[in-house]
Amino acid sequence: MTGIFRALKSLFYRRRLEQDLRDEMESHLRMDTLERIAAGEPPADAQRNARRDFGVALRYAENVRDGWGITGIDRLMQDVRYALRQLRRHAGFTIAAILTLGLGIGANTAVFSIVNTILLKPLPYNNSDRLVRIVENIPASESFSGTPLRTIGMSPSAFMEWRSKTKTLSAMAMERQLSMTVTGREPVRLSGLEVSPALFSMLDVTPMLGRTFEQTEENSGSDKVVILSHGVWANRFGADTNVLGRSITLDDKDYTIVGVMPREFSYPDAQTGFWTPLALPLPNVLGLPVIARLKDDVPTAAAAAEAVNIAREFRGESAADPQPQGPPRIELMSVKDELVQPVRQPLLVFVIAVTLVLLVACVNVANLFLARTTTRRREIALRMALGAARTRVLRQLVTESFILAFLGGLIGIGLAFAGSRVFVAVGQNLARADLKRFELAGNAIPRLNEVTIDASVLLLALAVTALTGLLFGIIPALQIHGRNPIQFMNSNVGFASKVPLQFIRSVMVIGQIGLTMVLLLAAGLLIKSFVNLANTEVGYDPANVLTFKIPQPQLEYPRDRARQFQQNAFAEEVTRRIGSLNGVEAAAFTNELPMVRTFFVWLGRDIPQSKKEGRLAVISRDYFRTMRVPVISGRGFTADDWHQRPVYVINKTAAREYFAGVDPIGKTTSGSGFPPGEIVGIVDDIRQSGLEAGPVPQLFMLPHHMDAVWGQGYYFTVRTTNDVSVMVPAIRSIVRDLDPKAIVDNIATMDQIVANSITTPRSYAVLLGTFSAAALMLALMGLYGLVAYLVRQRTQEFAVRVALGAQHHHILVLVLKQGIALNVAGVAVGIAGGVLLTRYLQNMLFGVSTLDLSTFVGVSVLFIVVATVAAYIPARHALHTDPLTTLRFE
Amino acid sequence: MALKQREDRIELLQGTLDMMILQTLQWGPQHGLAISQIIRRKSEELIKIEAGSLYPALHRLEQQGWLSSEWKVSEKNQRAKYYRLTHAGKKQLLAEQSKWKQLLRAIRLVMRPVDK
Repeated sequence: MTGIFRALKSLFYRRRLEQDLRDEMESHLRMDTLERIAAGEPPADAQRNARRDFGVALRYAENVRDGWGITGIDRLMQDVRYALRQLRRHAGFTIAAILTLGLGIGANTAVFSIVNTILLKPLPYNNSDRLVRIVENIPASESFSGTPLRTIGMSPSAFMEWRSKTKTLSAMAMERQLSMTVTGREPVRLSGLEVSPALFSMLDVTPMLGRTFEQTEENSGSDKVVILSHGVWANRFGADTNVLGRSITLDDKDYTIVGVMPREFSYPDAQTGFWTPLALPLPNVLGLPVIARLKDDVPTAAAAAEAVNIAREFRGESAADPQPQGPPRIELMSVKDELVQPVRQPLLVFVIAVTLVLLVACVNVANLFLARTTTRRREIALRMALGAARTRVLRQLVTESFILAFLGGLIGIGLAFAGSRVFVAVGQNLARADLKRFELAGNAIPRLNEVTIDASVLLLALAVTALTGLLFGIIPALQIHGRNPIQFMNSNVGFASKVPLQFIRSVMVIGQIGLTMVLLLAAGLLIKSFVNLANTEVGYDPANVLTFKIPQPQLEYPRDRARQFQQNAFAEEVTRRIGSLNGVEAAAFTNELPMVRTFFVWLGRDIPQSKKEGRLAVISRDYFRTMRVPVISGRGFTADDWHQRPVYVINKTAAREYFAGVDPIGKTTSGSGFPPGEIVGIVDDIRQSGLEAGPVPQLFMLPHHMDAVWGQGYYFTVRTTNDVSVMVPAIRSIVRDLDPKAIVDNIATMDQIVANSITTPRSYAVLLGTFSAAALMLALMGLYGLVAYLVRQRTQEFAVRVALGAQHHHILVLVLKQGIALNVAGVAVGIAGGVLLTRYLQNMLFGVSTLDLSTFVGVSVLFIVVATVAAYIPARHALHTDPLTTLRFE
Repeated sequence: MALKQREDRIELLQGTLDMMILQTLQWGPQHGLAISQIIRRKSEELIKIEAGSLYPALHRLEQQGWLSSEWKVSEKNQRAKYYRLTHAGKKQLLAEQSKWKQLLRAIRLVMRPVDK
């Protein structure tokens, strides 16, 4: 301790000490000289003799400094300076090492930070691990889609009964996400949440201003109160603290502001701008999500058992009835697990991928250090022969490793920050996988707003890579251990090292190629899957089609039928006026735009239960013409159909599935929500609910033939003769003229919507493509380095061979064979790894098997070609062997 | 630590330089040159201490708190750094002296001619 203190003090006073030392030396010499002169020596001799007796000044100063205790730090600085000089001299090695380290550290820090935030960190509510969702597994036999269904929805009546029965849950809240138009200065669409008042106490939050909801506000009539998010309060109300009690108009209804939430609060996501009470009961709603909190002293298993019993009671089963096979009908799942479930698997795939990249990077660093071993060994032997202590040499090597790790770490931190920012930006543009929720602002990836770079992850990645460097950095010193350093200095060949370097390096390169192959295979499968999706026929012509939505308030059936007809008439008028604009070919509207929303089910009374579930879409007369959906047989809708008895058009799949072998035209169909009517036409299939979903049976009808009310407004489609975007101002002004309170929302071209629907698979392909490209680069570097090393090792042998008459190309083949052997071994390892690992991609692939033969073959061939080139370049150096020059070196 | 230049010079035993410096300073503060001259004179020119050994020793003894130093003007009107024995240094000197006496006695006993 005192030693350190003294050293530090010495460092601070160093200048003074040095000066003092010089003064003392001068004073000594001057006095000695003067005395010698006084004793009769000639001045010139006196000075010389004084100096001679003084001894070597340098040595003297060094010894004194030793006493000061500075040398520890001094030596460190010297090591650092020397290391920097070394690294500068071998710039190629240095840049390769730093970039490799940076890449490994950066990619890992970014991915692990993202995964840590999204999958591992608790949700930002007190005791959030006690918050649960009630998940129901509906077996295929009871599901209306005919496939097993997993849902967190519960009917409002069941919710109310459950709430009164539970003894294990301390609170339950039902929620419904919605978006509403705020009118005022300028109409805007806001995302919000209708929720039971119990939510806020359940999440243990206090509002920043005002209060949360009273239990009585869940009763219809007293539910017109609203709590604002901090963001809406700041943007819309200028952060006015007197906002409480003021009124805000949402979808034409007045709400009283009773509270403002703190900035850091978000539920269920950061896009939610307001909360209003969910009025119960809600008779016509099938299912809405429920959040609940477990009582403090209740184990999860007890709560789950109670949930199963309550659900069985609802279905009229007694507790004594045998439990059905298969997954439990009711499960309790933590809110966090349910939230992150859709992204868990892709994120884990990325974790595996990025870990492989880190491994490849570590191997590369190791390889780079080993490659330098040969040259370093001679240099180190020289230094040791000149008297450098082994510890000093070791410290020198360690210093170099640390400097590399530090510089790599800097690049890594930069990459990590940039990478996570890109991830968040890309993530925010991803369409929700769940199409029903598309209209609500929100992200396909939850918790994006919480993503930060994790310091501990960064340190870990730094440590792993630094350790690798360290481990392999000291190998040359260890090899010299216990030997006469001189023996390493002269000879190029014949030094039997303790570590069989070439073998280690070969194994490492094979491993590297194997890991890279796994990544390339995964990327190949994802890219092929994406290409499959992108090339899927959509069934209509998405070019030059502009789409937008005019949102309308939620309507209720049957009370609001009159208002629904008003909305239909409004939409008809909007399309009529847009259709008459210059440059517009046709305009139409629908309740279900392709890729955006599929909600209505066609439950025809005459359609067998066992058949595929059909879909129902309301379209205006010119929809097929606007979208260019080909009419295969019969006809589309005409102007006359408007006032006639209902007629319907079905698609090809419906004709095949429901009317096997019979011509459907002229047949009558009917279903819940629409009256019986004649089928007048068949259109081609369109991909209604996403490219990855095959076509489903569809039935199209005109708006006024729909009995049920859907509300929420229509999507409009406008086909233009050229650039679609120039139409937007004209469309806006038409809508404004018709209704100043209406807003034109979700403006997008149909091309964009189609492209958007596959952003998720595209991001998968891009991300894994990037990872595998990075790994490929590293692996090729590794291979290149090893082959170059082999060539250097055998230069003399080659020279002898050439001198004895071998042709140059024989030698090239000799070297290449070795490179290709490594290559093929690595590819074999990679294919084995791929067979084991690509199965985890199953749910991320479309139209491609996880063991797709053409991908495996293609990637292998591509890799072997590229890697052979990487081996050929250094191998060519063997060609330039000049036997005379080389042998003279011996 | 100590250097021999001529055949008749003696190589110093480890630690004896420190002891001689302390001994030299017990009569009052001296600068480095004077210390080396005093030692040379008293050893009848047999021990000649180079600056390269002397000053590290002086600085080391100062670090250990046995000496203190200050810049003063010498009797010949030259600026020089004077070293003075501290209280701890005096105690150290006493300890060294008794250790040295024991060592000398032990060596004498070992080296005396064998009695027939």
